[in-house]
Amino acid sequence: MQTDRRNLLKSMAAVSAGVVFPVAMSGCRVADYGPATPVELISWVVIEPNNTVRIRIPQSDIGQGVITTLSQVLAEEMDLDWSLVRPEFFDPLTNLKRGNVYVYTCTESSWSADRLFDPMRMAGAQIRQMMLIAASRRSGIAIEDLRTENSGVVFPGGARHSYAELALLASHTTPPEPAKVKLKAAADYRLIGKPVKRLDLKQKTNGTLQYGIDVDLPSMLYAAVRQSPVYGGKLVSWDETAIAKMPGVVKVVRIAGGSSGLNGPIADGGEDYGMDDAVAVVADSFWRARKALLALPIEWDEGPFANASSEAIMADLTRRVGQTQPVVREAGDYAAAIGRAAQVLEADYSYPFMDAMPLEPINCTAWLRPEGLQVWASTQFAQDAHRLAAVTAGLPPERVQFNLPYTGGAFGRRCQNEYVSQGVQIAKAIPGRPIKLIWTREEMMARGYPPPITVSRFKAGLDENGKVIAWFNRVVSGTAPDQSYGPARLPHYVPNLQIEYARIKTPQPFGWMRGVAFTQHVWMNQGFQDELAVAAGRDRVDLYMELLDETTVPADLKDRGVAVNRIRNMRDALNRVTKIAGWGERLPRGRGRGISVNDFSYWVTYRTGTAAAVVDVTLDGKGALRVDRVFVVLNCGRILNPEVVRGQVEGSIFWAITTALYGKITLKDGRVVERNFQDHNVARLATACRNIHIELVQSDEHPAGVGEDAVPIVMTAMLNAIFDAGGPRIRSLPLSDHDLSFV
Amino acid sequence: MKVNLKINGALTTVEVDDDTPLLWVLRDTLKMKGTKYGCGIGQCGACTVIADFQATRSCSLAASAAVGLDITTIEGLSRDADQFVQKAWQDLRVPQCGYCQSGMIMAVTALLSKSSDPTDDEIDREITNICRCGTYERIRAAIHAAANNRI
Repeated sequence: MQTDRRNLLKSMAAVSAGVVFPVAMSGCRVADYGPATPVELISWVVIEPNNTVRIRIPQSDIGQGVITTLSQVLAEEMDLDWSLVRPEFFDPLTNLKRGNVYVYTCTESSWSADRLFDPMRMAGAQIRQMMLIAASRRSGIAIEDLRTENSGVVFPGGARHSYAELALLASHTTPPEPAKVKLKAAADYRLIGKPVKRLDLKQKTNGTLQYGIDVDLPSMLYAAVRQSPVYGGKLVSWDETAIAKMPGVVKVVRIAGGSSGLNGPIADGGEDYGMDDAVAVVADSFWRARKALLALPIEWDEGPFANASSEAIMADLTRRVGQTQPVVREAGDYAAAIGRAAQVLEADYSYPFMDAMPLEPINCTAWLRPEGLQVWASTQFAQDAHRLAAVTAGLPPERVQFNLPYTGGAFGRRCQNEYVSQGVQIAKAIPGRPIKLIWTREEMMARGYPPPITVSRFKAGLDENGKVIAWFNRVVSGTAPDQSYGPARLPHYVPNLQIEYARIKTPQPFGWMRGVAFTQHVWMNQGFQDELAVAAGRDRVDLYMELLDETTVPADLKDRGVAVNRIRNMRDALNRVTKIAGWGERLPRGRGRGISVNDFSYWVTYRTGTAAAVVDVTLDGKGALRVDRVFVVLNCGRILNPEVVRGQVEGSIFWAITTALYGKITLKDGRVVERNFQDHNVARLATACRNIHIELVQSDEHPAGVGEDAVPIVMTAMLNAIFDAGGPRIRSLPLSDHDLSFV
Repeated sequence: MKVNLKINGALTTVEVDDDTPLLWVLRDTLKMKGTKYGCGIGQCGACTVIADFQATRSCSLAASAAVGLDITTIEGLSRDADQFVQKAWQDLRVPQCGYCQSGMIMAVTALLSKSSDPTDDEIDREITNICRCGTYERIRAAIHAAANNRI
């Protein structure tokens, strides 16, 4: 079976069809909200006396806008007045106690909409039904004669009860069976699919939004941390006397390395995803803590990776890609077919270590008191942060409260919660005082969780007509879970095909990064396909369309219909993007176009959107590259909020540009060479593309992810465009390592 | 040492080490959290404030060097998020995670105070702040909209 990041979540009970919600509880946690009587209904909402409704969002808002879009979903079915909606982040402890009532609480895989569309519609519809029952009981009027509208129940004569007035009575009704609840027809949607403005827009423009790093508590202390500069190193000693007289220093704390949560004991492959030993200096201000840490002599045992380098690892991968590796997909007789090919092409592609670099530095605030532990941290996986905090503190989960604030970017980096363990370890050393741990940018870059360094070898055969009759691909990558979907989940059914995949252990623990393995492999696969098209003298779209042929899908393939659908969706996206981009237009030398199409189909039945891109670039002949125009078509199923989706596509475009231009983390002497943004540039306004065209395909299918789909295709189209413009064939990244001048 | 600062029109005295960057004085001493820490070396611009009409990376300005400057932070732009740049940011739905946007809005406010209708090239040159979510084209559009609305 395919292994992927979903499998890491098996510890969270999966709740599928037929969600049953626990019995309503009224007035839960009233003490937290003042003397009035807010009423909680089936865990998902709290109705305030003034008729505002707090909606629990079981995801982190990392910029993708779930706080708004998921509110739209529940508010739609509950018939809420949008101006009265007040979303809030879920409480992991409540979710734990109530048996994963929030269904899906890890923010990854672009899964928020996919996983929560049904449960949150159902919750809204159930609560709406409970309101109708309550109104009927109170008035004696049959439910059939009542209707709901704008956060209230309307009676036949036009009189109405607000939800607030009915909430307490509703809380004593039994939630209706999901099977008996009728959801709205899409034609009746007032909120789902509408471009409502984000609910946090104002706070995001006046500086009042609370991110993890903004948590402030009375008599709080600050901690700066230094981890082993070499991955896998161990702490030997430090000399505290050197900083004893520095102002404000309270304590130096030893932090033990070990398992770090999501990538801990439940990761596949038995790999060590642990964090390393660290030293934290705690002081009365962050500036003082950081200064003292810089002055603290620390001795490390640098361990087995003391001499590791990207260069040596790349050489090792290149050697291994010359050896036979395990076959993950095969068809026909590749060896025979390549032997009779009219034309044979070979190429090696490679991909370096990278870093997601979210802008809000890693941080965690923890406060251990006799009554229990409180933790705050920006994270993509609050549920696991809660678990890890409890394990680290040695407390039962009920005595740990994890508070999820807003997250200033994540892009995969915050799936790992090792900093939560660090924060709690520091809090344990200084009980009674809240401590806020902040990593410097330098610490973040020194201790990233990269996607795997990879070498991919291709060999393909074309017949006399330029048709691909044989396809070989062997991939060897660094530390990662099984990402064989990258090379092997091609939508094509080339008659003779052999794909091999292997991994070696590399120093850094693995990390997810926006676009995941598709970013590497879509580019590599379609970069090589672009080479084939050039060699065959064919238009790329012509070659892609020939490869995307549903009649080539084997008749006995399991889930054949899904495979056929994939091909149809890709052909449709390709057709649409060629139309909006005017594919076929001749560009003068120095300008070039690339095209790419992809979905995020990790495995056969994985629900995914489909996206295609055309990118135009200009090479000035002296080495400079400009991205002139980007065209993206995205079919993501039902669109929850078109403006939010557009924003995600725009963001993906710049993510792709940064990855192509600058994406590289270099290991030397076991250490990361790049220290801060001065060594690792990212796209800025001057590098941004000013000409973006996005077409969102209207669809009634189940909503699919939108946060990552455009990353691989935009990068692929951009890199292929460089060759089309007369530049070099790009087979390694980043572009800043290439000479883009041409004669 | 005691440092006298003028922030958002008000005089305030703080007791900090003289090398403490203005960023940390704002955030940790004065509890004004709208100004963000991103890189600490003046690269990303998340900490941008306006000092004497100039966009300034507050992570790279010692508090002691800020004495005598007229400093405006994101908290000082408006009471109700309705300053003209903020409004343009809302109209064009710029923010995603939002973390960089305080710094962006301060940098743009400073730019528009000296150049009322900047060209795209001028924008590229002047606004070097980093947004990892990639809101750049909305930022550009919002700058033009803010400039137009004010004229």
